[in-house]
Amino acid sequence: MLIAARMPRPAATARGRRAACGIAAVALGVVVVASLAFGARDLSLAELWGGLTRTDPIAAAVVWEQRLPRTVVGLLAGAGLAVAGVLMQTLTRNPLADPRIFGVASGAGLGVVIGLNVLGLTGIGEYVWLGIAGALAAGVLGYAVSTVAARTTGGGPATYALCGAAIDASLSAVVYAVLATDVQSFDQYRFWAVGSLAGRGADIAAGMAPFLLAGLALAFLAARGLDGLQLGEAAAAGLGHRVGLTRAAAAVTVALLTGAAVAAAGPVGFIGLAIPHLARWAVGAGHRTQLAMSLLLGPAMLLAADVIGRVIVPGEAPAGIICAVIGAPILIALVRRARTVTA
Amino acid sequence: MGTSEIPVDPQRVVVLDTDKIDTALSLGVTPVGAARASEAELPSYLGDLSGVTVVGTTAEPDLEAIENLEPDLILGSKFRQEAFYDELDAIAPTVFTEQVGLTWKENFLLDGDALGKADEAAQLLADYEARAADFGASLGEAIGTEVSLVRFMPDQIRFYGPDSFSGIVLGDTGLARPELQLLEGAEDRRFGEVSAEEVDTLGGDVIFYCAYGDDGAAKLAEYTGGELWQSIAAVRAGEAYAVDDEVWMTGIGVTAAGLILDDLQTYLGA
Amino acid sequence: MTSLKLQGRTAIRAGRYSVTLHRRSAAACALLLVLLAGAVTAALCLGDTYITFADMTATLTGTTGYDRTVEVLRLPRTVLAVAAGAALALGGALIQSVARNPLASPDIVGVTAGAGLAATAAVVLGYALLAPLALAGGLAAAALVLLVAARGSLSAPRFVLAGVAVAVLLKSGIQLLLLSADAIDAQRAQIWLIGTLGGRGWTEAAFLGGSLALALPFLLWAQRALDTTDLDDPTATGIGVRVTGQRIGLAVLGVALASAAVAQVGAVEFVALAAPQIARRLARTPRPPLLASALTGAVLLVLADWLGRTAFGDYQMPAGVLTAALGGVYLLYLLLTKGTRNEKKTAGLRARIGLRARAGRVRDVRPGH
Repeated sequence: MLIAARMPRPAATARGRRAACGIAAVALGVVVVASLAFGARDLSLAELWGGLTRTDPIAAAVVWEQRLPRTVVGLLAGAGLAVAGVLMQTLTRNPLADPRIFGVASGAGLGVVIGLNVLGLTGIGEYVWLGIAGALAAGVLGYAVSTVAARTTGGGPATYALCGAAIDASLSAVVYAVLATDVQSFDQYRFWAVGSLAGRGADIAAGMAPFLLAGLALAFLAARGLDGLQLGEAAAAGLGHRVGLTRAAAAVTVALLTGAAVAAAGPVGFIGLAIPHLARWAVGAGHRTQLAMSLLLGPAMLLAADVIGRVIVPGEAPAGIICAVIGAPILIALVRRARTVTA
Repeated sequence: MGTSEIPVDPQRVVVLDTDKIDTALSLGVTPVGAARASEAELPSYLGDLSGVTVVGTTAEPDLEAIENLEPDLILGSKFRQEAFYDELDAIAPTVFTEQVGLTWKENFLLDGDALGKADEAAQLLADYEARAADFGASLGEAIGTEVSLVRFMPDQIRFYGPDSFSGIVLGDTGLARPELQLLEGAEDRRFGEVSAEEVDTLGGDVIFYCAYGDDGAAKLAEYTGGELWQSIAAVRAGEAYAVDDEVWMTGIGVTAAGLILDDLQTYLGA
Repeated sequence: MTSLKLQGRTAIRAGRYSVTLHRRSAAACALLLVLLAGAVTAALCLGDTYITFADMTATLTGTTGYDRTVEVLRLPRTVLAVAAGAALALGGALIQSVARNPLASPDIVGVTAGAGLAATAAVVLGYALLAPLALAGGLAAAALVLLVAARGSLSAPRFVLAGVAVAVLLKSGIQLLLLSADAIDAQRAQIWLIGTLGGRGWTEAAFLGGSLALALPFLLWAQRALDTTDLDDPTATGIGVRVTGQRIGLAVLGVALASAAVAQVGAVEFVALAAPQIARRLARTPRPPLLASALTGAVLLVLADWLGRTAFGDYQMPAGVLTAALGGVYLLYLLLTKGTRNEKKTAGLRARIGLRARAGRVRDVRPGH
């Protein structure tokens, strides 16, 4: 809403919205192909095809064991984070809401780290529950705190962002403390803390998929209620929306999506911040289209970051870093363009 | 780093890196304290270390715990404890070795000298080298077998070159290495990294592989179960062997080197 | 709201406060000195080896069996904790005062991350001159935040928000550098993700002590200058204070002190945020009092370091982990209470609420007269 306010918006017409969706779908298609085509091993298009059709056994192993699971994890996590961002921005009526900035991702991260390092869980099917629980706890805490804080400070994005920063800092420190009792772990921490798709295999993709898909379905079911919420609580109630139910459903959905995405890919930031803005600019504030657009753009951003990370440095730069490098200027632009930051 | 007066016959030794534990025990000195490298505690291949007090981690040693042990000698590594030298040296004469791995024989002799067992150290090292050479000679033509060393880390897959600890042991036997793993022309010839998409390019007639920590073990299970790994000639020939990471990688010392020779004897010996 | 009205009211307030403020501040400083003495005593006496107070003092003045434990293992890092805590807190107090926002501390607005990024780059790329580079990094980050936040008039919330955004960007930069670094450089540079005093001592303490001594004349100037910048802009210009130049001077001093501390002990988060506000509450002053802030910062960091090395068995918990965990909780508390009220309202509201708050304060302090 805030970004690019003066640019001509495709959202203005139905044709424009269809065109925007088409462009987003094509963009997603391109990055999915790029994600399958680029990697440490050079595969020609013929080999890639041979791999996909399992006629070339080596290429098939590369594509089916490495690149495809990783791409699926990227698709799911990107969609989950972007949709979680849409829900959070509507729930809090705050343009800066994002799972990472609000500390929800750190909550999920702490849950996962406790599952892995304290409880000794190994399968994502086990520790994903802790990720979801952590996300829910951090989200509820952050929401409660910022609501109370808004009462005394007059609210505004700064209050919300700072509540998130506070929760994020505390929880990240606990994550570090849990990991750092083990010398191996600083290395793990510095790789884990940024979020990455590297080495994510089929088990991770399969483990996270049910939670992600359930979350996405819930998000679409809640779309009408969210449209109502956007008008304000009183107006929504007046129009017959069940405000409390919508809020609760949206909060659980955010926890499901963030918990599963973080369990699979780590706390990748900025997708949930940037994509909803881009989606609203492209297709307007209606939640069904906004969610659909985010569903296309979120995976596109995460996979594009992953591919860029694979290509720009020898070895690999984690997707989370690339997202931060792309996303922080967007956050800065949002701050600069915000007409007034005390809501 | 300054110089230290070292006691002639140190009795209470604290060791702050994994290779020093091997060194001390190889020379018959049981340290009073040792820093741990991970939650996995002290290396298990050295037998029962229950009498050794754990004094923090190799990265952040617990200085007061070390002091309470009243050591008369501290063996450490500049790589790990550079920032703590002044405090350590105030507690007891402290000897730091510069590098880890590449200079393991020099480190062993230096630490042996510090422990007052220079002659025994030289003898043990000579015995080991003689055994390695004998083993190489016993292989006959099989000495040309290319040996591949692969280690699964939580976030990467490494192969180990001629300047790594286990690479040096292989070199002492005279066994051949795959061309990629010789790291010709590289500045750092200890190890290189290979992408999971290229594990089939590692080469080698025989593969020894291991995993660092639990997360590394998870990666090992995942990748060695994959078709790309199964497509490797040595794997198909049944010549890929899982070995102990503590012995081949983190151990470092004549005892670990001897155990590597045992493994080689088992898997390659006639 | 007219500047005349503000001016008159402020003048009365200044008169009232000049009595109460100094008393409270002096009392607060005395209390903090006692606390600091207690914290330092704990840090010197309690650890793996228990040393009685008498033995400890005897060690400091002469020779006992505990010379090494006290003078090598405990004293240097405790002195460093005092110096670093004070420098961080002073940096926080100055920047918070200039921004008129308790949330505008160096860790939140990116100064810590900027200094850390420069220091990490220095280590990873192999440059000497770590401290000056960290200072330059901190200043550059502050300039970047101002640049991002500046749009017409500079509003405090926008400044904080811009700082949060810049801090995120710079922290990503540190992480990127660490990932591409050699293992040994990464190990050396990791304190800029989580600060620690382990293995640090007299060298670092001397540097920071020297920095604080150098800054002392400027701090005395700052103390006087703050009395006028505390006023609202129109008032201050109305009575002829060169607000802009003065503010820049105060901010640069704050950034310099915070950066100097970060260069030596790494990213010890939230001391700079919490200490000035704790001091402000103790002293009941409208802005963070400098001396009390410095003492509070010293107490906090001494305690964090002492707990980190004694409370977790053989594991040495970096002080930065404790300050980040507790500081985050404190920040939440700050957001939940009226601590941010005055600063966060628009100018018109600020005047109204300011009146109410002031009436409350006068009532508060009367029983003490």
